[in-house]
Amino acid sequence: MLRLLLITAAILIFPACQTTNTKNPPQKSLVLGDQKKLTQHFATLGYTTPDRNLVALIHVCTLEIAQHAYPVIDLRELAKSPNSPRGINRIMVLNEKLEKLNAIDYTKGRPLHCKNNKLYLGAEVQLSEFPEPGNVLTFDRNGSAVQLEMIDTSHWF
Amino acid sequence: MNAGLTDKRWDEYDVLIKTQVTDYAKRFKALENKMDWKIIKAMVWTESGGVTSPQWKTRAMQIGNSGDPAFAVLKDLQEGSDLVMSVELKLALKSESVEKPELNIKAGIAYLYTKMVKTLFQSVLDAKDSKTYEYTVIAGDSLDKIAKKVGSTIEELRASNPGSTGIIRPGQKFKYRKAAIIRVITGWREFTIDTIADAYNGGGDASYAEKLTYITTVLFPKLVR
Repeated sequence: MLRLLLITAAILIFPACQTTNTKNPPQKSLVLGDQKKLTQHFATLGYTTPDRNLVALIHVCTLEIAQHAYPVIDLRELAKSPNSPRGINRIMVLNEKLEKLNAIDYTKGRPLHCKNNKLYLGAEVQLSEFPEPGNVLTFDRNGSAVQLEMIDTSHWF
Repeated sequence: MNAGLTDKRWDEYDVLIKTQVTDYAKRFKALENKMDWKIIKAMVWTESGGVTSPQWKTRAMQIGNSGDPAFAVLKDLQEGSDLVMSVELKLALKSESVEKPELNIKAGIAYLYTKMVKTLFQSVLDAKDSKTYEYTVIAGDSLDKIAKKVGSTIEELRASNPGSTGIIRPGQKFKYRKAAIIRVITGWREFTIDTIADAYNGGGDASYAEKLTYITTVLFPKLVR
């Protein structure tokens, strides 16, 4: 039981630990696992907007490309309004200094899982760089999305 | 919302909405009979809160709310909104207050269509310059550098010089036309209550589609005027 509790605690406290075995792990990995510090970090860099309500800021996983780590953040904000606030949802791809390399807007296709340079999404997204919608993004070492594929979930991983 | 059943004031923007939907269908043939104007009417009810809400006479579609990206997208012609909006609307957004409900509704409809349009960045030849030019490669050149230098695109260099775009060498000659990478409309998403709700509300209100469905299917058939 104690072992189970320790494992659970470790997953809750250090979600970044599940992410990478690269030679260059994120330099601020502790920030990734600390909601308050991550929120401060994003606010300092202007990645969040004070005029909006921050409803989710989650380190989902870390892409691994050419032995470098690229943390993926799910950032969700709500515009302040009296009726039916608009949602502003973004997949943020960061570098090892936790600076933004790429931001991809989505409605339902939230980021779920990283495997190497691929990011698996909860639903399809339509991006203007690609002719067709898809649910799996492939990234290059600049953090740019270079491929968007529609892959049936039964063929994931 | 049920107050709208018997109160004619809730129809105040009907003509404006119908006119806008007709105008988009005229400018974009693919939109003919695609959009039911009553869904936008339902959006105005939902977004404003109705005639008793202050938003009814100001930001009826909530364009211009603090922290909301929609107004900036339209004003700065981002995300393909420059392709979607009429010239008149672009000018109005620069010169008039978006606090006027009529302009707010026009802006809201433009934002919806911007979110519904499918676009791609493509290499497009300069229509005003049909001349074919020639460039001689110098040391240190790459296709990307050449394209930037001569006002063309990698895609155009490849298309005009098939078979000579592998390893490039100094002295090699490339034919090209002036071209640029620009955003073009490739189609439209299907106009359903679900896609419209997603596009406009961005997933902020989990019940948004349900609200539109309720208004259009339960309330609108019972309107007493």
